[in-house]
Amino acid sequence: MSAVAEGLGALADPTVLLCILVGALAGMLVGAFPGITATMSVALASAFTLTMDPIPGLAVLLTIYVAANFGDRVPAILVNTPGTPASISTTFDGYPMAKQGKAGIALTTSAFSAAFGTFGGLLVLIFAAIPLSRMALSFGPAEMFALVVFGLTMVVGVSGSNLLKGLAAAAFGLVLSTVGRDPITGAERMTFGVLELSDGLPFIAVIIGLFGIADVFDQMLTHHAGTATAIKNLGRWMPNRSERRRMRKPALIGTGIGAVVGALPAAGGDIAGITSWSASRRLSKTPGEYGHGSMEGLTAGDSASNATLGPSVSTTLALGVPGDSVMAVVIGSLVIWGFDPGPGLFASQPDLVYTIAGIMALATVLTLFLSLLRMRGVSKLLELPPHYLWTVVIVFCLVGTFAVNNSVVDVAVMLVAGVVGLFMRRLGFPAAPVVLGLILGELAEANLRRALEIGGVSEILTSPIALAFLVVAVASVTLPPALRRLRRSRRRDRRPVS
Amino acid sequence: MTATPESADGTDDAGSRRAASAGTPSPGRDLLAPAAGLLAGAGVVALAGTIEIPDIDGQFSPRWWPQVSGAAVMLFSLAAGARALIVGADEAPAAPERGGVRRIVLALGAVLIYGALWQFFDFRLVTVLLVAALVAIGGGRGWSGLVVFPVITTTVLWLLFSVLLRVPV
Amino acid sequence: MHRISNTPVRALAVSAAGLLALTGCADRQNDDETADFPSEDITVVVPYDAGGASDLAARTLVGELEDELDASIVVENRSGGAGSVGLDHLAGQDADGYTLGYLPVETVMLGHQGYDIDPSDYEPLGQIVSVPATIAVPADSEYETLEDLLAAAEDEELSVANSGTGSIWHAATSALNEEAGTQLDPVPFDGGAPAVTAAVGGQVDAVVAGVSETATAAEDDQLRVLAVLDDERADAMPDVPTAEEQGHDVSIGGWGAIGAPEGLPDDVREALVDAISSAADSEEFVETIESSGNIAVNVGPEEFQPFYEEENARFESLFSE
Repeated sequence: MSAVAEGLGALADPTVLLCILVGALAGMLVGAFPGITATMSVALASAFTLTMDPIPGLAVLLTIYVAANFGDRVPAILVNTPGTPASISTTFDGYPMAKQGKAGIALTTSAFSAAFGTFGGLLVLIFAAIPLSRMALSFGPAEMFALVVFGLTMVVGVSGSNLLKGLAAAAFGLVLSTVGRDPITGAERMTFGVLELSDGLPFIAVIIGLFGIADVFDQMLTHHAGTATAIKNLGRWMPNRSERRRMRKPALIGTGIGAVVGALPAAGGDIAGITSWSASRRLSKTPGEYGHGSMEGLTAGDSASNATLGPSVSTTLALGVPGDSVMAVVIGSLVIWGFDPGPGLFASQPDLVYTIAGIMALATVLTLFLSLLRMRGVSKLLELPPHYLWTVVIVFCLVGTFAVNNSVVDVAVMLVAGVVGLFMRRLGFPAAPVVLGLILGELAEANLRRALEIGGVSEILTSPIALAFLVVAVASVTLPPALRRLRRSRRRDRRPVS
Repeated sequence: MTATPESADGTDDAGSRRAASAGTPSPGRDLLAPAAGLLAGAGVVALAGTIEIPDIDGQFSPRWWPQVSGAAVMLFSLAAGARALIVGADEAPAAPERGGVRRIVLALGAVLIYGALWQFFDFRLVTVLLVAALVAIGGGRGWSGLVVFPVITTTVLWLLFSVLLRVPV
Repeated sequence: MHRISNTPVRALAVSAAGLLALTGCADRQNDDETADFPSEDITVVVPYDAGGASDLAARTLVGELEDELDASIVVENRSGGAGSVGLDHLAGQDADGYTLGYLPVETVMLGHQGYDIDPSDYEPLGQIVSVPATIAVPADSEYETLEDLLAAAEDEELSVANSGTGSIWHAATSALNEEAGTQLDPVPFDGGAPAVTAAVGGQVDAVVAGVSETATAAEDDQLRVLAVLDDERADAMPDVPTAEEQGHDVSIGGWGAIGAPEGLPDDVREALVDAISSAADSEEFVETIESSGNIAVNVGPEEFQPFYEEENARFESLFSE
């Protein structure tokens, strides 16, 4: 266990602790603003950290990564604007809670769930990095396609009361995912000659528009002048004993799902959050509350999307290939510092792995503490009169979206998505399935066609993992209604069927 | 927008005022949504037909996926229309207030003018103007709303994006 | 740390300069006192996301270039459209030396792939990096040499991963096919990392990727690199023979240069070329690039310009088939 002592001992350096503090403050600040992504801030920071020693440098980068994921949830809860795709599921229950005057408890619940998930994910990094990375390696295009098909069945969960409209919205999301150059042949699709669209619709701009801007527009449309709808009552801050007990199950479900999803390359907090929200709803005693301000739903989503952090680092280090763009920066820095990411790293430098886990753990504790301290100030945002709140959301979304790519086209996409989102909600189409279709559509099409390119249909049919996911996908759509019917008919017959 | 259409309406709002003014369900409105869906789907299918097929052989045409998704939008919209006719209308969202549409149009207009002005004038100047305009559109009046608040907001934006993150605004 | 702890005055200058560049109403062209160059902040446009290999190369060079020119230089990432968005933006800027750009190999490729990019809109001021292509197979693959792989690919289609449709690695696969008459089937992935992972996981028969992308996996015995598609062996993998050594004369790979919109004043160009050359020779730059597995080079515009045009012609013929 000397590697543990050595790895964690490296954190006793005051410089490292200072770096963690700086990273936490910077990360929370940027995370709280829609548009500024962890990738962007980590990339900017890497220009300076490269000149530092490896451990303090890593402390800054990894802490920003952790803290930005915390900060992200604040605008999702308060103004329905997810800063990154990872906090989409936060809006499902977090924003309804805020509207019901429970913003305080929603923010605390979210922070605790996020911390819980992060710690769960870190356990994976410490104990299961190598086996998990092997599992990740067996996920080729065929397996990814099947996983994504399974993910698409989540539409049923996030569709709300009118499933058909939800399905139509999801199909619309699939359509949006085809904008850009075709992933296999490079043919231009529905870009209308706009260069900026040839890599596909800017993702963050679309979700900010569909959620945040559309919500502001809807408030502008329905707000009655002279009545104050500002939420003065933030409610309690700390969950009570029975609420804490109810959070246990969704937190465990979320952490488990997040830990597995996070290990897969190309799947991250967005997919984990939605999957876990959906799964937890299915296993809940009160599924009807989900989407209307359920603390369970909030807990499930937030613990899952944060539980992806640890496994994502572990896959990155164990395979030597980055799982997301933040990890690309970290890998690049590690190589330049003279480390050698890959399976060998865990054998040759186990202390580094413990140091990384230690940094992330400290960052989580510090960020949790900071977010609990700071939330009373942040939630003052809700006490602003509506015209101030609308203005703040619109202006920050405008500038934040521009900042992602320094692109005016992104801003235009966000505004169009806002208007489309407004029409959709007026017509009763839910927005979450659109985002699900947009995220998963691209992965589904590209991986299906890649798999067919590699080995034809048999590439999918001969993969046990792919087949298992497809079977589960079919079952998850067909079984629950069938069971419900069966139960109903049993009840009607009042006679056991043997 | 939230996960469920119900949370978009007034039922879970803090006050009961909104619920009282919620629009009444009507079959006309409920057929509007499927019609919009059908139209969008048809548009997509038509657009997908214009995608140029490159001279590379593969199992799949690049048109396939957009066409299937577009057709799915149409199919589900049709089904939703049929459901509205048979089962009845969904709950309606809160009814628009008088002047609501005007507020949105004005806000969008202000943002467009902002985008144009921004090409010629300093970010800080035009942002102060935009913030003031948006506050005014929302119904804010007076010194604090039209001067102090815009200056503070712009300063925060500028410090964060231009100074700290070096975004070329 | 001076790049982040900016004084408000300088940041003001930055935003003012950015604004002037944006409107194109800067009166710099009329400014005859170019001997003072640079008297303002310089922007370097990188047509890819922050954090990638191109961004790293550009930012490292900029760090040195700031000292050489005694000016503040801002790196601006404008990604999208396989690099075309940033390049298009660069082409529209004033040719006054205050807006430079990172020119990747895609500068001479995109125009032949349906993007509206013309290499003659840019003036290369010096090549700074070179990224030779490698072809690698999973560690447990039956193919031990390039010859084994190509022989097998004569009779049956073999799947070869690359980082994306129309990428330089995709083109490299086509170039191999053309040279050896084989049926290597390029399978585009979404980036270099997933392509390499697919080969490590054995989902594809082989992968074509840059030296830096295959080197780490090869060191851990997850991949076997069969050949370097360059004139010389790569320092990062001295035991791997070149394709030419194995009887196939294919040399193809990525490169990166610093360039400007076409039409720089002569003295400005001279000042920039000198500064870029010194920066590219600096120990800091060479070390950073080499430790990331790529090759730092310092090729002046006289030598680079003909190569730039040759490459353009080569991709024109490669993509027209």
